[in-house]
Amino acid sequence: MRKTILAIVKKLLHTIVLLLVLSFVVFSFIRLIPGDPVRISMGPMTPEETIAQKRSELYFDRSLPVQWAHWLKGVVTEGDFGESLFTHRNVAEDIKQYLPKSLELVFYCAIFILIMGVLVGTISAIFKNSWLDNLIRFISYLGVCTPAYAIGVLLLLVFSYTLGIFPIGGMPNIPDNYVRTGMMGLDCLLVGDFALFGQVFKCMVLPVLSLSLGSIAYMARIHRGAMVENINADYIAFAQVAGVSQGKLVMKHLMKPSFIPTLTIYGLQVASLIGNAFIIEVIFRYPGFSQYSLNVIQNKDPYGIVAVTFVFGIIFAVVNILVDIGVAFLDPRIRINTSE
Amino acid sequence: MMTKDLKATAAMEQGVNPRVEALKKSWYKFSRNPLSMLGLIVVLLVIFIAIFGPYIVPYPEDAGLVTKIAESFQGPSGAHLAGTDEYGRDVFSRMLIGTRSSLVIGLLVLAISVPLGVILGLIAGYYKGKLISRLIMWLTELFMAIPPLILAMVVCTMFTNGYLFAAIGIAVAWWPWYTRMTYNMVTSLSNELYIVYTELSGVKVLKILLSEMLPNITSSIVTKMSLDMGSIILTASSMSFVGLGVQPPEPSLGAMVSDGIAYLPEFWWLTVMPAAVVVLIVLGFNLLGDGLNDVLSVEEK
Repeated sequence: MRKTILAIVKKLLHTIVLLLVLSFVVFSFIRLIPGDPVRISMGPMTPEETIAQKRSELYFDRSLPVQWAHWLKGVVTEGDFGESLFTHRNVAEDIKQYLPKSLELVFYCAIFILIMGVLVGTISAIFKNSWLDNLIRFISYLGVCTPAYAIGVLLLLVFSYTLGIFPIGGMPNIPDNYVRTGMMGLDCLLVGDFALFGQVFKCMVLPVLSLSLGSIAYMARIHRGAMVENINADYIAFAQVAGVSQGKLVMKHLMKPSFIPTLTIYGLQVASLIGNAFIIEVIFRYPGFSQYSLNVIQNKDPYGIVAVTFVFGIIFAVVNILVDIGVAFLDPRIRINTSE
Repeated sequence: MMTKDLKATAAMEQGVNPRVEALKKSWYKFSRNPLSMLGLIVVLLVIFIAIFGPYIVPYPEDAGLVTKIAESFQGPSGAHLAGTDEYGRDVFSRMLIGTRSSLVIGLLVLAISVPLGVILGLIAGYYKGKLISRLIMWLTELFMAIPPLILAMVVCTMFTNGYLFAAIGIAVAWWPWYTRMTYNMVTSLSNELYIVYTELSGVKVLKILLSEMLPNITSSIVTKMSLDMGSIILTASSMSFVGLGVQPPEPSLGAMVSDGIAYLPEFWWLTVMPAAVVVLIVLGFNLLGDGLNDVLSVEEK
C-alpha cells in the first residue's frame, strides 16, 4: 500500500513537470503564429500606441521565458490565466463559467458508459456466440466506426424532428442567483427547482447519448473479450469444481479480474470524451468548455489557447492517475510503474 | 524449426518460393473471412474513387462554387443519387470528391507520423535507459498529454487553416503512438539471443535496427496503420465538421454533414448520406485491419 501511494505521488510530481513544460511549449508555439494577435483583436483602426500599451500589458513585448514566468506566477498565486483577447475577460473567469457545464455533461456520460458498457459486455460474454451476442457485437462494431456527430445527427432526426420527444438543442436559461457550482443540472437540484432540473435533464439526454454510444460500443467489446478470456481460465474451472456458487463465481471471480482491462480502456474513453465533446456541444448548442475551446482556437487567442491546453492536460492527467489507482486497487499484483 | 527449414529447402528444390507460399497461405486464410473481404473491397473502392474520382464523378463542376437554384433541394433520384444541396449541387458527386480528400489526408498523416514515430521508437528502444531514449520517450509523453483532437486543432489553426495543415496537425498528435509501440517491441526484441549475437559479432547499430529489428515489427505496424486509417479519417472529418481542414467550396464529408444540419429534417439526405459514407469508409478500414491482424498474428505464432 505504501509503495502504491509513493508511486502515485511520484507520478503526480512527474505530471506537474510535464504540464509545466507543455505550457511552455504552447507559449512558444503561439509566438510562431503569423500576424500579431493583439493587433487583430483590437481592429485595424486602433492607434499604434494603444496596441503597444496592450502588448506590454500582456507581456507580449518581453522575451518568451519572461512572459511564461509571468503567466505561471499569475496562475499559481492568483489563479490568473491572463486576459482573453477574444472574450476580453480573464481566462480564469471563462473557465469558471464554461468548464463545469462540460464536466457535468462528461460526468453523466462517464456513468452511463461504465454501466452500459459493462452490462452489455457481460451479457455478450455470458451468452457467447448466441444470436444476442452476435447482434451486440455487430452493433458494437458499427458503433466504433461511427463518428459522434453522425450519431448526434441521427438521434436529432429521430427523437427531436420525427418523434418530437426531446428538444432540438440549446439549454434552458439558468437564473443568475441559482449559480452555485456552474453545473446546470446540479445547481437546479441544489436550489430545489425540480421543474427546471427536468427541463435541463431533457435537454441533456440527446447530447449524453450521442457522446456515449461510441464509447459504450468500445467498452462492451473490451469487457466481453476480458470476460471470455477469464471464463476459460483454469482458476474458474477450479472454483467451479470447488463448489463456489454461480452468483459468487460471476461477481467475484469473473467480474473483478475482467475489470482491469476494462478500467484502463474506460479511463482512455472518458479522457477522450472531454476532447470529443466539442462537436456534440456545437450540434446541440450546449454552452460548454469544448465550444469555448473551439472559439478560442479558431480566434487564435493566445492566453485562451494556453489555458485550454493546460486545462485539458490537467483533466487527462487526473483521469490517468485515477485509473492507475483503480487498477492497483483491483489487482494487487500490479505495481504502478513510474520508471518511464 | 528444423523441420521447417527442411521443408523450405525441399520446397526450394521443387522450384517453389517459400515466401510466396506463405503469402498464398495468408491470403487463403484472409479470403475465407467474408468480413475481411468486405473490408478489402470497401478499401479498394475508396482507393479507386480517390484515383479516378475526377473522371467518374457525374457532375464534376459541382465540386466548386456553382449555383443551380432550379435544381436545389431535390431528393435522391436517378439523376442525383444522393439528392442535391441548397445550391442545387449534386451531393453524390461532392461525396465522391470528399471521400478522395479524406483518403489523401489519411495517407498524408500516415506518411508523416509513421516514419517519424517508428524511427524515434527504434532509437529510443535500442538505447533504452540512455539519455537520448529518455528524451524521446519524454517528448512522446508530452505530445500525448492533451487530447489528440485538441492538439490537431491548435496546430492546424496556428498556421494556415487548410488541407495540408489539418494533416500536419493530426500527424503531430499521432506519431507518439507509433513511437511507443515501436519502443515496446524493440525493447522486448533486444533480449532475443539472435540480436545479442549480432551485436557481439560487431554489426553496426544502424544495420541491426534496419535489417534485424524492423522486419520483425513491420507486420504489427502495417496492421496498426490500417486500423489507424479509420480513426484518422474520423478525426479529420470531425475537424472538417467544425470548419478546420478542407475549405469550402471544396467538399469534405464532415463539413457536408455540419452544413446539412440547418436543413433537417426535410432535406435529410444532406446529412445522412455523407455521414453514412464516413461510417462505411471507417468500417472498411477497420474490417481490413482486423482481418490483417488475425492473419499476421497467427503467422507470428
